[in-house]
Amino acid sequence: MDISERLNFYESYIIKLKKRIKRLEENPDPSRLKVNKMRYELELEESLSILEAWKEGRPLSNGGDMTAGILTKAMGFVPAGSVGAAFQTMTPQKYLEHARTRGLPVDRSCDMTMMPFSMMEMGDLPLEDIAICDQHACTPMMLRGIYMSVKGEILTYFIDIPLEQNDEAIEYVSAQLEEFIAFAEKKFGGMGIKYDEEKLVELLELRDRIEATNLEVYELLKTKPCPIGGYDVFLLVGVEIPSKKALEYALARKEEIAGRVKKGIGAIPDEKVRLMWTTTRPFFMDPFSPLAKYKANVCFFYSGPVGTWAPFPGRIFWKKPNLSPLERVAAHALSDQWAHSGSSWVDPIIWICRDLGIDGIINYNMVGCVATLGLRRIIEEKAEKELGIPTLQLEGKQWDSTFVSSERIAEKLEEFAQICLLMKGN
Amino acid sequence: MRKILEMNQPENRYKHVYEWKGKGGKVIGLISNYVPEELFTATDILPFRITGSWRENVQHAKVYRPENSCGFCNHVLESYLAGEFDILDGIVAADIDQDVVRLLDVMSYLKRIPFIYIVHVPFTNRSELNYRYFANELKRLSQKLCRIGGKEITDDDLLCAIKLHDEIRGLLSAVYDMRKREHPPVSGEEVLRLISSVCVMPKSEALKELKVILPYIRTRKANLKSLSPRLMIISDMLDHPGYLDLVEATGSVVVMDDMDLGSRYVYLPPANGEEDPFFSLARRYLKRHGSARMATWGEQADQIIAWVNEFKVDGILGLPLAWCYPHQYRIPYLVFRFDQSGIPNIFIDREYHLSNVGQLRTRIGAFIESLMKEGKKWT
Repeated sequence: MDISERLNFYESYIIKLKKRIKRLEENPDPSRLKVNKMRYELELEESLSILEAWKEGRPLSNGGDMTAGILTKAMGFVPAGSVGAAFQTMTPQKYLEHARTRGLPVDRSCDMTMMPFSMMEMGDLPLEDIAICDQHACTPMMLRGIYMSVKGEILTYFIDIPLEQNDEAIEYVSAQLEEFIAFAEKKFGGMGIKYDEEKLVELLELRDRIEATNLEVYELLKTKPCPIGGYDVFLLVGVEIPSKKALEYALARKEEIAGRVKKGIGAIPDEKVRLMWTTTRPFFMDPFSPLAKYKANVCFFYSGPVGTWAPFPGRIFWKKPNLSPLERVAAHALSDQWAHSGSSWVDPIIWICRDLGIDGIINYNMVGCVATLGLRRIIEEKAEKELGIPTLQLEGKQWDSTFVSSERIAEKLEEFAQICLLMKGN
Repeated sequence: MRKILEMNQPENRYKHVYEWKGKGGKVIGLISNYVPEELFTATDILPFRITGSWRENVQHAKVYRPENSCGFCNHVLESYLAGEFDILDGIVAADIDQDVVRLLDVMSYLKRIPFIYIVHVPFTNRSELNYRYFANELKRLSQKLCRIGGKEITDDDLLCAIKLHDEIRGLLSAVYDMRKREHPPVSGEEVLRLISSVCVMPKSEALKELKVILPYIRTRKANLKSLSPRLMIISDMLDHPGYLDLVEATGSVVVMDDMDLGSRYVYLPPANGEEDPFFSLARRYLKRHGSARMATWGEQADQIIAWVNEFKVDGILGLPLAWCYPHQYRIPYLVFRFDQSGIPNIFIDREYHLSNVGQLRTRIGAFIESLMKEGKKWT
């Protein structure tokens, strides 16, 4: 048995992060951002604090991740970080196998739906003391939450997120959050859990500043050649729970990217094709090198609200001025395009492609992603009709490499890069 | 009785739609029984439950939807693209899962039908807030329907419609009661045909027909190959009677179900005299025995187990659609609960259209055989 299998996720991840930071200090990759070291330090700090809280038995909650993570933190819960952990595990197959043994539809679902709860059930991640289950992301994520609640392993609080994005929906979600606060304070008050509005406002302000910084980064991505490449583009995905250190990292990243723009440094200096990548990517391979062979660069990653730092129309959907702190949490939960109408997912893709001068879209057809698969043809038709650019429908999973092989994916990416070149007259 | 049982067969399905349209009426297609038909009846619009194409080939739908997705949605889109729904004035669906939402997204994008609308149905009934929001959703929908139907809806109109639908549900629940008999008067296949027919007929006509056939049903004994084992079916979007015919022809009788075109259409908690009929509808629809997309799996399992005793069920046969996520995620929990209660059960994936008949017959036959060997509990 590998030593990493005797440690829980955080124990092995901390070792991995320390090694990674050391490697970046000793031998940095010149093609990547230097500031990534800071990101890993931030992750190390968060992982250490979660591990410590877990060992001390302090109350843990992710607050439904994108829904009320910021609120549960303001109430004194420690984030358990399960979704981020799923992205970083080195042993995905064992968790997918575990879900299979439970009779869950692993081969028909996206890996992300299956991984975090398997990690919790196997003891590699802490079980949340209270989970929020809602539909902010997609139907399978909601079903996963219901499954965990009926199994009786996690106390679960259900919050209904409507399909509509408007002021009434904000009021509705916000009222449910108020009920959640009362419930959680009653249940965990003895453990020091209490709603702290000042703390929430402080966290919201930090989030605003991080978001504003990331929107400045978006403007820098318009530069040709694009200052960063695929791996760093994927790291632009926001930090879910804001902190002072996360803000420092966002600011430093913006400065470094701005510096690259000033010096005319591009991830691919003689960039010929600018691509957008949607949804998610295969984490079991390097999907960017096959594109780089043809001077094609992934300049933008589109993945719902956290990945989409772009000022597309409709992003601010509410009309009411001066939302209360809780209403702001509700508005954020409602901003997630995955769960809403098809046009709220597709229209920003088209807008951003036009704005950034994108030459082609790699639409990742993640197996089991009910939120996006039914929209693939619409994206393809709109991209062709409105922008005259091609779309690659790339089928695959996130961690399960047995579904579509790395070689097949690389082949398809190379072919697509060549098509884009041809369409640009190269 | 034969006449009403044939109404949702492909050759008859649109008969009432054409008649209604011929009289200048409006017809709206419905997806999911979480959208209350009462609202349509109140605005003189014919609510018409959407059935997808029963043909195997969905080549046109495949252009817009991946093959490995909800079969019901794929077959409905095939019908939509073939122009089968062009006669309708609109389609309304509940956001029962994202596959259905994406189906409606494609329909809106293609603009074949002028009115495409999605109703949000809360997935939890934890709080009064959920009922209030759903009631407002229903009000918004009714405002849209008023514009289509050209008629303002009053509380009296809605109360009248609710009364009519409750009467239909009352008669259907009487049929369900009779299924508890040792020799049921109707087969499972006939019940499916009956309910799916009611869902495509004008409700006043459905009520009239039901009143006529009910005395006959009371005296009837269904023509069944076998009176045991007694099975309960769990499924959704199962509208092809061939599936239940197959189950019963293999040597069993279907005496109960947990299906949208079944018990979940028939049983609704009673009205309790709330002043606002929209709120009353919202509360009743959210409180009834939930489908797999509701966060009430524990209560759902309790209810199914209660029915097993009430209807003297020997075994549960689940026939989920292969790519129906709410069902697929709920199965492990239901299996756990049924096993814990000593209820024999099996879940077999199926397609939306009738297919893989040979394989299904073998697997269902083996399950029936195992029930016979175990010794029947009730018969």
